[in-house]
Amino acid sequence: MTSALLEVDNLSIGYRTAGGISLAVDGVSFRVDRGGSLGLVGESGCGKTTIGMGLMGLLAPNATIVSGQVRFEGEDLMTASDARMRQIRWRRISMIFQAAMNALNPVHRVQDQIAEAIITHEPDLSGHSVAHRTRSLFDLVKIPESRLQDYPHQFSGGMRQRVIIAMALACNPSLIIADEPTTALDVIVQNQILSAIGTFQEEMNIGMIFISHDIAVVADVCTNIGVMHAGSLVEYGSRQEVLDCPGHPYTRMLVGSLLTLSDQPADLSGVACAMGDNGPATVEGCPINSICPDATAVCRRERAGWVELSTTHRVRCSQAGEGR
Amino acid sequence: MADTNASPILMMTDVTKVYQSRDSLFGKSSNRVVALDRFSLAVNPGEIFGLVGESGSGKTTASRLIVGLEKPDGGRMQFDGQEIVGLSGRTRREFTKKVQVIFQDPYQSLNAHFSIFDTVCEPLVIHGIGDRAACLVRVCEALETAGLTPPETYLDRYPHQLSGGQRQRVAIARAMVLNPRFLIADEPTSMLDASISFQIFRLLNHLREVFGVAMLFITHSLAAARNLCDRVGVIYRGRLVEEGTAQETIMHPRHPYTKALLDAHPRFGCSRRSGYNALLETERPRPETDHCPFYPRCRLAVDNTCNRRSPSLKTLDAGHRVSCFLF
Amino acid sequence: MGHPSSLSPTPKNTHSISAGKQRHHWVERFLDGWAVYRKNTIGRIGMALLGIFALMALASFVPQMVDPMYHPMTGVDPEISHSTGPSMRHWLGTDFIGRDIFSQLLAGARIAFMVGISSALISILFGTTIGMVAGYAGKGTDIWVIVLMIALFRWPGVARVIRSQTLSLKHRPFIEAARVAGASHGRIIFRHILPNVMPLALLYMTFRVTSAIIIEAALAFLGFGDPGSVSWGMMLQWVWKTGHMFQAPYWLLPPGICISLITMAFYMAGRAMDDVLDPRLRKEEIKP
Repeated sequence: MTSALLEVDNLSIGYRTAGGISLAVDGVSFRVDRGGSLGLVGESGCGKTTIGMGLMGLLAPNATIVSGQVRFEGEDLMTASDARMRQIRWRRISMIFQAAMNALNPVHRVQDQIAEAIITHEPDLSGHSVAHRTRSLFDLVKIPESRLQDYPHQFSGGMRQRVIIAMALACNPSLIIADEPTTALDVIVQNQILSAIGTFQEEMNIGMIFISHDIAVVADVCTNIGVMHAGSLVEYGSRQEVLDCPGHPYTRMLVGSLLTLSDQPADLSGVACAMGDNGPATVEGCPINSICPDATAVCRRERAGWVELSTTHRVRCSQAGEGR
Repeated sequence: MADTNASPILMMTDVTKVYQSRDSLFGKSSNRVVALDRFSLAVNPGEIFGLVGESGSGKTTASRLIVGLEKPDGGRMQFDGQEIVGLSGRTRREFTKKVQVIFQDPYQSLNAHFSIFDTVCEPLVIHGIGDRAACLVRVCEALETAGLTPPETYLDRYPHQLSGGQRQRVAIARAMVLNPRFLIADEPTSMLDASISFQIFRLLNHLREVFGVAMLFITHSLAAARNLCDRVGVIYRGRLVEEGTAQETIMHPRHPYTKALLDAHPRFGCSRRSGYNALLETERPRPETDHCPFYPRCRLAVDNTCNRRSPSLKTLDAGHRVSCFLF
Repeated sequence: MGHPSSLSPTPKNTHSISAGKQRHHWVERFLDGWAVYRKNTIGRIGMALLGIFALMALASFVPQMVDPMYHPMTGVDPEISHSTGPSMRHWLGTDFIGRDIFSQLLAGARIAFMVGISSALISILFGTTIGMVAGYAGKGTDIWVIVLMIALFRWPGVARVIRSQTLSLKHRPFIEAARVAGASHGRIIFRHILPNVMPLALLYMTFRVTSAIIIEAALAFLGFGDPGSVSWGMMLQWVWKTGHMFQAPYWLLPPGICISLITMAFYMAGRAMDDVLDPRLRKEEIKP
């Protein structure tokens, strides 16, 4: 068994509101192996970005970690001091943000921005080796060296995203959290970025959490997939298992609403979209019982526990595993 | 369904649009960006035509030219046989009744200060149609058509109280309230979650089937075009490079750029086919002379042809047209 | 807000459709807005304070009618020739030549309102309209309108801010949606752009009003006021000039407190108007 890089156990994160704490992440557990990749898929508002921010220790001031354990390289991040978190952040865990333009400072050359990221975290490095590292990072993300001196606005969206990736890799982290890194990009550029991510992840043996709303993109880059709905994981397993035989109705809906290029166009009047616009949130039972085609009395009464479909594939649905 | 024998409802012929950015104080033009370059397009009545391209390819410019938000620098545009460039006054008002747009971002396309009733009713007010009671009935009908039921519960609400999918439905209701003959849907689902997108697609398809509205569906997603559209046009750097039925164009692409788009499409869910591999790793420099717009990135480009002349659309079999010297 | 339960029009759901119903529609809007405004505590306090000051301004005509000696400028109590403290005869005392401070205070409220409201009207009407037209019409007109503004008012602040706001608004999709629907320029400016720049215009208006009141007071205090009228700034100047600064708190404090309170009241009222103007800031009151 490979060693776990990151273990998240029963993590709950809530936002303080006028009416008490509302949970954005509710009892989520997963692990990422060294060099492994986990894709967190879910629709907007399902709490996937909150998880990423929580792991980085960058939660909004009104957010609070309610419960749970996060162990990173054997170290408990929940009890780590702010100073320790600052050391870990970017050096050990770094992040690729969605908005590539906003993450770069428009008045500095990209070379200087990457160098700064290195120097901030490794102040002992000589100028020469910083420059060398910067060049090799650019090489890794396939940006020509001649463009080191350019300003962010001279880059296209895809190039900027590559710069962001280079910055995330600047300090040889062991875990990268990529939050919708290709969402605003065109399909050709997206493909290039995804393959760049795949390459460095493999070459540098970096663990990755890839957050996206697009199950097709996640299927492209991740070995494990976790499907999130309304703050909780509802299905977790290897890519093959989750995509080939999705155990949770919500996953089936996500897969079903994905349009493909296949010879037979999707029947747009099909049942896959029976769900769609989230039904009213119910207090009791399974959160999707009001829109789930297979819901039974049990679903309306109580929250399903985890059902193991195989050693690596688990589903949080009371109907799972029956008749299979 | 599409009637291919009828004369097109919308025709764009050799339309060119150039943006010039002025950056000196005295207005000397410096940067010329050709958004549309001798762009031609025809949409038949009752048909959904998918215009596929990446950002910056000029697909949104095309839609803005059609509805008169911008003026073309050359070429002709006809709607129903009538020239629509430079319409004004009453003829323009008549035209705006027949052509409506659904914008990309439902968070931006609705005025936050307007209630849903005001929003959907606005086209009726502008065109002075009906009294208050008649408007209320038509607004409710439009909301129902767009799948917002029961419509009465939405009338007094404001956009910020609705979800993204509901907002886009309001935008669709606003577009449909005048019973237009032609809809332009400019990436209507790119801001929405997959399941919601799916429902919006279904709604658009329903509108076409029930009301016979023709549609120009602008998208960057080949999968969406494949599933919703009758015919598809692929646009690259302001040129239409390939056009044909959705089935033909996407299952048997001819143009290298279409092939590159297909290669880049996430593999999920469709049989892993051998890549077309039409894209160059490193781009060639753009030639000074007239050239094929895709030449700098095309692996299949032929020197002394593709970098010397610009190809025109050639008709292959069954209305499949492609702009490439290889055919 | 209520929901019509059937397709038949209900009064609650009256929206502008025909010109004949227009007035009704605006009354409806006003009442709706007032209902929102009333829920805002800050707004209520501001409105109450403004109401008190308005009453004071109205009441400023009364004292001299009771007795000519209460005239704020020329009325002198024949029995008093120096500053005296509060008494039954002079509620807030008298100034150095025996004029009644309370009636001066009332007269000052009138001046403050005149200064405040006139500058507010100028800023909100001229500035907003010109700014919107300049921003919407674009390049050529733009420069000339701005030049005109500088020439006429030597103060294009609001117009400039509104113009830049309009520039960013005019290419927003909802404006373009209106253009696609065939809306006229007037309709786009006044129905679509105006509500969106109103919060900003209002913010500027509050600043203008309060700073106009304060500037008037400061100028009067420094001796540049109209010697023929009584304002709070004038009162402060008299306190200071006649050396009563530390001797006569009954004279010094009322105008000082009034200046602070009226500026605060305008600010609070303006702040609460945000809720009325922007539906996004209202509390959710509609159940799905």
